Amino acid sequence: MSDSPHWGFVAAAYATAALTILGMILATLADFRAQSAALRRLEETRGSGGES
Amino acid sequence: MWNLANPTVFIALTRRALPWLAVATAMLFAIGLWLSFAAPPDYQQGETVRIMYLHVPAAWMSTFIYGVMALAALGTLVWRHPMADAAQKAAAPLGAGFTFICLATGSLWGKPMWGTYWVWDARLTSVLVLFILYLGLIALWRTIEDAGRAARAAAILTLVGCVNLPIIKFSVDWWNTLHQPASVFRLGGPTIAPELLWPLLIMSLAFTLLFITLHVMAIRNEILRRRVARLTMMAAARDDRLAPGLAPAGMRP
Repeated sequence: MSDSPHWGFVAAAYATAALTILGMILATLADFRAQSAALRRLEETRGSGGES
Repeated sequence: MWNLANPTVFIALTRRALPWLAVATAMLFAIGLWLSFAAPPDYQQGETVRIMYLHVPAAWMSTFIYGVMALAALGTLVWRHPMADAAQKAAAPLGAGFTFICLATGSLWGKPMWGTYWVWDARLTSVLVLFILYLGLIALWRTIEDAGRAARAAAILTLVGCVNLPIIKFSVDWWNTLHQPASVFRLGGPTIAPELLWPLLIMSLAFTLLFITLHVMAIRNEILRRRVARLTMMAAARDDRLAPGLAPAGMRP
């Protein structure tokens, strides 16, 4: 594999795909954490009678 | 099936299904990647054929996701169901991501095989148009503040953009392009050797499962975002009732 003159293109393609997929996974997880935290905060505020 | 259109039922189901989906996706990727590097090199393209195991599944996903969005757009326009809009909105960034992988890996495959990273031929240009459509739809949802109006506008734009799908599929038949014609889904069967075809099919399944997993997660996020927006508005209305003088003049009833 590393003897191929084009292995750099193969490595770059796999690195690009891995980074993009990792980015999509992390963005989705970060969004979930943000929405869950916001929802928890609002429900706590509502539970305490709107005092903040 | 229709129960899934209930946001509370959907969230309860995702809690049970997501761990299984994530494990199945990771296992399929592990098997697919192992097979991709164990497969023999192509007799003409040599080792660069390994880019195919990323490029082709990403290309299939880019059009498949747009098809999913088009179905969801029909759900928004015909039944006006909020879950249809949530599904469509959640799919757009994923579609953009997979289309980016398709364009980037295609470009990295093109340089050693064609001698250039990019040509303005029909297949490449129509996929670039698809990528721009995804970005345009994401921008549209962010630009229009009224969620209902944004949903309808995005649904109409998605359905109009469907005209690009047959252009992408048949561009290699209708015009002279550098891009090779279909070699898997074609009349007369695949033209790829089984040693190369199997890793490709496993990787395609892994990409499909990855999309399903991320899409389910993103729909759940969208449902939570709408709950946050509703609760924020209710809290603002309650604050206004308790202390009307504190609200800005333009916001008082």
